[in-house]
Amino acid sequence: MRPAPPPLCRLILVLFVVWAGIALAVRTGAAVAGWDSRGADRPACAWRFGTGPVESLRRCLARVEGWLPPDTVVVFVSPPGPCNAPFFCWRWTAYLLPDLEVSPPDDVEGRQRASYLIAYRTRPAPPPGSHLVLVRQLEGGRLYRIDRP
Amino acid sequence: MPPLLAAVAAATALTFAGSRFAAALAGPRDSALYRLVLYTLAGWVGLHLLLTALGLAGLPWRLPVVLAALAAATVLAWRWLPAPAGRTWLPSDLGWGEGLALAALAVFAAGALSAWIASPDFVFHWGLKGHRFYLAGGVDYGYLGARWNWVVHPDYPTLLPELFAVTALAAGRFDEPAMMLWSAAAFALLLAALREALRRAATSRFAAQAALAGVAMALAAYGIGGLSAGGADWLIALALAAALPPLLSPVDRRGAAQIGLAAAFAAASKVEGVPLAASLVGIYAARAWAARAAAPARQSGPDGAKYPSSQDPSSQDSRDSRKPRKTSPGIDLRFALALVLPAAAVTLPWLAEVWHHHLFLDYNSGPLAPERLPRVLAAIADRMDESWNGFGYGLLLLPLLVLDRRLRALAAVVSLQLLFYLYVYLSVRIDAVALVQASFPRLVLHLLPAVLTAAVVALDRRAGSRLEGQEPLPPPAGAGLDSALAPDLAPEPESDLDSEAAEDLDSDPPSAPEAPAPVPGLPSERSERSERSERSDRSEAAGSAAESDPAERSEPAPAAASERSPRSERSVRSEAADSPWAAPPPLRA
Repeated sequence: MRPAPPPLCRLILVLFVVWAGIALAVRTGAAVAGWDSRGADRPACAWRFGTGPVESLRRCLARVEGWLPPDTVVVFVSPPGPCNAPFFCWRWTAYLLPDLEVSPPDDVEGRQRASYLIAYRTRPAPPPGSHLVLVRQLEGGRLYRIDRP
Repeated sequence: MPPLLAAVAAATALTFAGSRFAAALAGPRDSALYRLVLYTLAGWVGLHLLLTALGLAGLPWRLPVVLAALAAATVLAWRWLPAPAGRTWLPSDLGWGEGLALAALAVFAAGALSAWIASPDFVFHWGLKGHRFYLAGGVDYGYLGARWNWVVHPDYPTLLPELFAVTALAAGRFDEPAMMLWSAAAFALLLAALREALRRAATSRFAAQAALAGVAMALAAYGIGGLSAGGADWLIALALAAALPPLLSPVDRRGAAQIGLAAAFAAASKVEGVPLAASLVGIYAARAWAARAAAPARQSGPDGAKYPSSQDPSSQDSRDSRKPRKTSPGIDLRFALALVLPAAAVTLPWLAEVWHHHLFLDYNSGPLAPERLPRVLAAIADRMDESWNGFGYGLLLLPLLVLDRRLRALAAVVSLQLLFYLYVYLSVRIDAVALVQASFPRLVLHLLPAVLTAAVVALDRRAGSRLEGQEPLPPPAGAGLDSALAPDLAPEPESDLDSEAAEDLDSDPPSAPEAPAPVPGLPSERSERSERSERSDRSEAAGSAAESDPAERSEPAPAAASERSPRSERSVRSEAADSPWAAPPPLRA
């Protein structure tokens, strides 16, 4: 074990620790404040577990979960919004429906393979050459079957 | 089983399973906390290999199957692997820095368990893959290969989703807070590894406590503000931190095994871990080569075999005087296997699956575009401190590490990793600036804990040298990357350090003390004992203690014990007794 470092070195280390402590306190305070206001609306790119929009989406998808056979390919459609909202909404849906294969509406292969479509807070257009049949009303959305002639 | 309890049980079982590799991984110089790190990493890597094997065999990941495979592997390890090294005891005298570090860890863990600070990447790919693998009973390559699933990074290594899947198997369901526990565990292990590095570097108590507290709080602040829980970046940071102690120590086979394990762990964790694994292995091999090349002239033994001077059969350190030693520069097979095999065992199956299922994404790499460099550097400068509260600039301390010969190996590893990141930014087929903005703060996490810790070591050493009226020790001639000083030996400004390293390279790691066997009458230019004695005197003059925390050792290293002169041993003991790091006297297992 070395002897204690000289005063300047100790001062640098003390400043380092104090700085880190302040940073931790500030970040923790911000996290607690964020948690307290988690119910507020926020753009899709800033969604987190427990936030209002995520809980809304979770409630919507709860009526899909376990209802469709595993590995079913589903197209997910949501309204446009700031901060690339459809993309993030699609990713959260994929997370919340892990047993399904959730495709975005702009993926050609996904549209062709999909047999169902989830519309969340929007009225969807059917994939080309097909029409939609409503099979289930969801909380804030609808589940359609894609019928291809 | 409640999910949190399932996560704790899974982590405990994996650490227990990993402890079967103790004889190869841990030795007398490793503290109890560092052993815990090594065993845990071994357990996690072992689980990854086991699940990979189950997948190749077509067996689904169901709880009975995984438990049976784990039990079979443990029994086989019990039967065939050597007994673990002697027991050690956890430290019982935590200092103020360790207390602050634990508090920071607790704050982070609380935030993580609430899932409020979960990484977006947990949602977008890590957690989703873990849940999917749990439901599918294995790595679902069909799912990963779907065109629209490029966003889940289908070509990434799968250790973290596997940990999630196993937790869900044990719990019977996928539960976010339970999954976050793995990040808290990785953070705790990272702190334990950094503590070992500070101990191994014989850092002064004040500096060690300050470093541990400061780094822990800085990381916790980032972990909370930067939303890092549930992501794989903690694992990469842990891999580098776990490699720090052997990088600070002389090259030997046990160090090679530790580096090999850290490399395998990095490679299994995330794609950035693959180059990290390569640089860890490469730098350690280069150190070994340099140590060999710098070894002093060999001497002939009675059987005509050549011996390094430090392994002369007449020396008391020679454990088997009849056994000829390799004399040609290079690395022996067991050393090479310990260093390379774990990472190869992890990387090759992963590469094969990625290739077989066409999972590698086209946008990952393209032709190098140096013209992007100004924009990329500007974006890095802009994002250097994103979420890091100013600590991100700690990476600029890298040149300070190069000035300290003992830290050059780490500096080389970190520099290579930064160069790799720069290469990626200059070659991806997507907007590089957007990629920097999205990823760079997370990449800082990989490197910053080790860099900040090493910077404190460098600062403390330079300050300590000045305090004693000495300049920092110069590098040994021709040592190159071999900058390590023996941590359990006295600092050696002369080139006999390299013979020490070369000896360590050849020798079997001591797992139990053996009585030295003097072989009188053999030719020796210089008595080993007197050489050690001189060295110890030099070390005392340099004011460095040999073992900073002897209380955590179960048994003294036989070599180290015999190498120390009685004087230096007394000095170490008295310092240990005075040292607040010291724990109650160890009990032998």
